Amino acid sequence: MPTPTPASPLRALRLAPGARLAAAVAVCLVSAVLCVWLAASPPWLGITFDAGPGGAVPRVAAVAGPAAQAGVRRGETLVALQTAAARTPLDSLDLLEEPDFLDTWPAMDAFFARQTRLTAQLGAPAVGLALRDAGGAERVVTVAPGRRPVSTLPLVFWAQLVFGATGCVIGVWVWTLRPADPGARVYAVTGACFLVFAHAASIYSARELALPGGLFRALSGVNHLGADLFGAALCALFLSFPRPAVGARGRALVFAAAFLWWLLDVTRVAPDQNWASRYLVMTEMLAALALALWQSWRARRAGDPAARAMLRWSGWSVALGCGAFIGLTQAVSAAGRIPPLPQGYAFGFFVLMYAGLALAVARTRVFDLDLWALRLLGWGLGIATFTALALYLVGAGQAPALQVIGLALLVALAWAPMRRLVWSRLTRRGTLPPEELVERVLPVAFAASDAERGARWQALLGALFDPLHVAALPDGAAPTEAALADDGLALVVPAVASSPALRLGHPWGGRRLFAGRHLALVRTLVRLLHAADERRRAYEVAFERGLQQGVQRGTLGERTRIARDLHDAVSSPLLAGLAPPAAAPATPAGAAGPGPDEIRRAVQQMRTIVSGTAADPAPLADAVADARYDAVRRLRAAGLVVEWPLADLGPAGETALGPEARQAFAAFCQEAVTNILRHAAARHVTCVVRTADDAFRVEIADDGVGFDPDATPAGQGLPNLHARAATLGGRVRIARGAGDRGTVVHLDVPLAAREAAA
Amino acid sequence: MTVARARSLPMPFAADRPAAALPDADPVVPPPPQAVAEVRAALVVDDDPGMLGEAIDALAVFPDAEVRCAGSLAEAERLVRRRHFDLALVDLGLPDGSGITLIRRLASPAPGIGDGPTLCVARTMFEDDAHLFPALAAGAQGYVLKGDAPERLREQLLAAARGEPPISPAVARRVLGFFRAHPSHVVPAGVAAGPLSPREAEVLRLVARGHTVAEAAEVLGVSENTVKAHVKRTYAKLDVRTRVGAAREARRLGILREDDHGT
Repeated sequence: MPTPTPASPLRALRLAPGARLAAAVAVCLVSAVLCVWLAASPPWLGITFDAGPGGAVPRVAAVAGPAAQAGVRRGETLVALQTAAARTPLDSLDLLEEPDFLDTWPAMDAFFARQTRLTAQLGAPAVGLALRDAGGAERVVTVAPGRRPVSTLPLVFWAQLVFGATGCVIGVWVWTLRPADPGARVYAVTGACFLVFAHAASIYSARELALPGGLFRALSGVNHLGADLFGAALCALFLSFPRPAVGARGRALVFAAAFLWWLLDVTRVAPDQNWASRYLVMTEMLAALALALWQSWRARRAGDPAARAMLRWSGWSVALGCGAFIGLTQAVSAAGRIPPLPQGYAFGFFVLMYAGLALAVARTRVFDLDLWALRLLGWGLGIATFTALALYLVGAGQAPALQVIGLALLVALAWAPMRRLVWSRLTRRGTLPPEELVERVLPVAFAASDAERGARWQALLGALFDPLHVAALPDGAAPTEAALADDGLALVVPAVASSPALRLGHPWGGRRLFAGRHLALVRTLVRLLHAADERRRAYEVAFERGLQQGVQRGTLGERTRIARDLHDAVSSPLLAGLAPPAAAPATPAGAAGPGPDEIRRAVQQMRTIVSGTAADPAPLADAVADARYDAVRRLRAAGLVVEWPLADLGPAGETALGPEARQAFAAFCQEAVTNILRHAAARHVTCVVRTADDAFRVEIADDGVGFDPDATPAGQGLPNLHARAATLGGRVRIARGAGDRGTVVHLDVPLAAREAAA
Repeated sequence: MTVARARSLPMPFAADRPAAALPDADPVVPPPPQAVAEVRAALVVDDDPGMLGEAIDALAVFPDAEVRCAGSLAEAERLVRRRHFDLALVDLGLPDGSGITLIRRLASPAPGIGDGPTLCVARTMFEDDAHLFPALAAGAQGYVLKGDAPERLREQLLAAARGEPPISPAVARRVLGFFRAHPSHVVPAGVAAGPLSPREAEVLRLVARGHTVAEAAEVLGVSENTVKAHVKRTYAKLDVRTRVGAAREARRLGILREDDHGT
């Protein structure tokens, strides 16, 4: 067979990446063709067997080709093969997919010897099949075995070819991405080993009934060699990935040990199958997992989040892939039982492992891999779930094809939206809609001082990426554009918004890496800031010029400016005075400095000045509506019954009230309600507002405990009521309610008098 | 102080004319006690220590609440990433940006993340439209002014926890005014923020005249929740309008390009 392999393994290293990948694909194809040729070469009857009733004798599950022409029927059991020279009775063990399931050397030898004898009999021009039907009647049918058409090779055969090729190609693909990385090189070796053991096994698992014993044994040996070296390669992988722990010599030692062990296996020095291969493979897998854990511990100690992220991927992939395979095949055989899943399909678990491992290795180089990696894994998991379900149904329930197709549709339909949800959730982080971009950038650009601009910019970056450390870069090292550094561990940001260039390290508390889209976001922000900065500078220049020329500025801009100044310079210290330390006693009456109420009033007045709409006069009807809403809401929330008819106030309702009068009216009603809630113990409150063209009157009555207006001490809000009324230019009268129950508060404000006072 | 009389017609006391009385809620049946949302974890975001102290005192209305404080947007965002808060009292003018973004994120978190929305109460120095509307639009359940009396703050917190929509006659008037002053041409085609529906406008007008939410529901013959839904939808339209307006303004100024999406 002309195989285009290079003369020396070293030459392969000098191939261009594309050529190397193409070579790997070619090797896989050649290997697959060889497998097909070997699998199709033994003489063929055309019968698909399964384990018969009780699992003792092979049963005819499907018939085609020569056997069908000879009249073999489905459901009959094959008792023996017979020719003129000999008769060989059959049992189900002859159908064994994998000779490794036999425990001892004599059992294996017997198995191979039977295979040789069966092959020899099938090689005759005509062979007699001793068949027994369900009723127990026996007959002999003579069949002339022919050449096997490739299309009749079973699904499990093709599955193994595809699995092996996939693992090998992925391994080589990663190697082409990171040619200098010893981890990637060892990883490619695992792929090659996977190819070897999967393809070797595919040939004998595809046999109809028998293969020549010598070929069978050789294939089994090749399978063992692949598996043993595969385990060794996994151990070597975690000895050099993500942080190299041993040199090339150490890795070679691991391979040499596995190879020596394999020699003990093929020369049958080992006492039995357990020692020959099973224990070795299991030990290798466990060692690989332990090494992965050890690497994780090392990365944590070294504070290397990138390595830890990669290990999370690879560790889980290996645990999932190898664990499932070992659990379902090797461990089950070591326990002396037949595995539940054909080994050929179980090889699929390794493919899952390859998907995960490939991403982990490649991620150290290609940052955006973290997202599509998950996408791929999600896809893989979906396929795996579906395959498992379908196999279960076909295997256990004998489900017809239609049901399986229906299930496939169901899974596909349910899986797609779920994956999209996960996907959108993953990608939402780090992206902002344009409106929010503006909201985020403008406060930075329009901060009052250079220092504050810088501080806000740094705070914005902190809020977006939560880096563990932020360092200013010296001018010499400052980049002109944002860039990723240290394989995504850091992001450098150019000088902008009066802030020096920055280096953000270990984003999201060190749990994740910077990716391309984060870089794009920062670049957009920087550009927006530059644009906003320019606008601000132009505005400031124009403002200066405008001041010099005595031009009146736009009122809106002016107001905003004053508002900010007020907030920063006046209000905050004032308000801070409102909340003295809890331990300090309240300011005694008459002490120096304004009391809380004075401060509050001052702040309210300032607010009135700066906020546009509130400063304009507004109709009395609005003030009444505000007061009613507030009072009814508060009283009802406290469980009281409120009666406050919404009366049309007529033309007097249009009377314009200035901000101070409105404030006073609102405060009056609030105080009255507060008094009722605090002191009256009332259940029912009635309020009536009446207007005439020269006055408006408010009457608030409750059915509470009432009080003696002359005997009640001050300090229960009554002086406040009087003060508010005075501000309004009106009068308060407080009296007992009807029938000497409760309290009635009357407010009387002459509108004509207010007009005169204005 | 300037006081002007708009009209001056001789008129008897309006209440003397019973026909003028508008329909009102039946005052005889006391309202059922309103359920207050359980608040176990509360967040205060304010850069002013004095205001923080006042807020912590006011949060004593929720005896079970564990209170956390943040002095900046960045600090707050770190806290909310780690855990869920039932209620947040957020200052809008923070040293590193506007509290609006935080409110928007807490009030309507991305589906499937965390334990659902956080009740947000905005707290600010200013009561102008430029501060109020974005806060309402972002989903604030309450709006309090710095310098309001402490009991006012406590009341607003309780009202938010009771699920009362953040509306008052004054706010309703301003929102009506906004929609009157900004006809729908600001909104690009395909954005669901057309003009107010007749029902939404009616709810706003009723509240503007002094009806409570419960009373407005009675007048319209619908449930209280329907009225709340109208208010919510109105604010959502406000949100799209203010945000689209901001982006438009930024594009007009040349700060934002057509192709900016932040990704």
